[in-house]
Amino acid sequence: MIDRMQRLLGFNRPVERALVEAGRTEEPSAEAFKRTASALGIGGLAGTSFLPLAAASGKSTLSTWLLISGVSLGGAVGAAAMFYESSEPAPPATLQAHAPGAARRQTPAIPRASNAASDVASPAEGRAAQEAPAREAIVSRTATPRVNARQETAASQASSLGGEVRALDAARRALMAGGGANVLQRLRDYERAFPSGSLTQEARLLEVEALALLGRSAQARRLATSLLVRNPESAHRKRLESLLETL
Amino acid sequence: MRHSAIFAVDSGQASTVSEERHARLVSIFSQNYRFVWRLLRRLGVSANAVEDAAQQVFLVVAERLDDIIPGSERGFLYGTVLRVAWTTRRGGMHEVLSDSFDAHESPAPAPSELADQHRARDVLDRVLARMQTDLRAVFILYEIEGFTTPEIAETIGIPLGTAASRLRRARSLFKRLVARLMAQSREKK
Repeated sequence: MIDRMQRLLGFNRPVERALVEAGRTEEPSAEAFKRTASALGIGGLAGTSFLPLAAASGKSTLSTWLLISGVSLGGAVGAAAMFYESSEPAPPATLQAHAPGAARRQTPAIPRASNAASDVASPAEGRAAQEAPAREAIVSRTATPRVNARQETAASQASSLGGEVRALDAARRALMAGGGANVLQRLRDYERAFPSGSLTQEARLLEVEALALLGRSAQARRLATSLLVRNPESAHRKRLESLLETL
Repeated sequence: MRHSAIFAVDSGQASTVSEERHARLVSIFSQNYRFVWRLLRRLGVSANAVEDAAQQVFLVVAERLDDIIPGSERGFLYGTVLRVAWTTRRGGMHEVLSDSFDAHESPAPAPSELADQHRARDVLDRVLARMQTDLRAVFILYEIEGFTTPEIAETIGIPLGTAASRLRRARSLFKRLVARLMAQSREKK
């Protein structure tokens, strides 16, 4: 996001910025992706990996995905995610400052055979059908009037969310590289590190996609259905329904 | 769709394509479809034609999968996109390579109207059409696709300094073209 903004700020005129931004926001439809995948004979697998935004550049930050795609996690979370981003080291502003190879993309890994990771349990497995009743971040109710205390709390929450974003971003990169088993492992790490995380819905969505990538369609279908039932108003509803159609 | 599934074999026989090749194609397709689609659009392929054009690109990838060196997929895609875009554009949108905008073209919208993304993209493509391909491609990769200069150099297969130089020229030209378009638009009004 910061990089995106810095690039836009390189244009002095609002018109220039608006034009470039318009180019950035044009996207192919999921239907076009599916049709082309089908024509190539890879519809079943590739259809699970069409993710909104940022994938093409190889800089798929989950935070960008969340903020740009309008996922409604609530203003506080969005603000915290922006705080996290702003706390990252700013990328160099000039061309000369780009160190060669510093941002080199990883070579896409070839997805492993569908059964290769069948021994990796889904993070959702072993869990009872019920989900923890409330996963909202615990907010202190002993807030004092002191501004500093509130700032510290906000900073702490942002730091925690930053960790969540990084963890899920790693999982998403693994998914983009076709490593379904690796995604599941990263999601388990995420759950251990953030048992009451703010981005658990995003984690579940990634889990569905990873299971589908691994060919564990029945599990993916069960999990997706369960998520839709539990969160009928989820911001990910369309994506989940779209995934279910491919399973 | 003009093409049938390339992995379907006549008379219902099982696919002869190895699982590894299949997995690699899935990986390349999944990770690059958006990139290919958007690059085609900004290189002047119309919204109506872009899906077929993207399909052509990946058909080439599928056919030449064994020739693509692992790690150089983006470079291969880039070259293929340029060729497909050029072929698709024939008879349609062309590079104009002029700093001026034709009088018969509709005027550029006012800045406030650029909130309409369709109109803004139309103007963007009119501006990009006036940039020669080498500058235009670098501009698109950097400004729209978010590549870094080293990534552009690697993808296009040019020295880093050349990529940086082209980008400077492309940005300068873009600004000049936008200014001229807006000026012409004001004159008309």
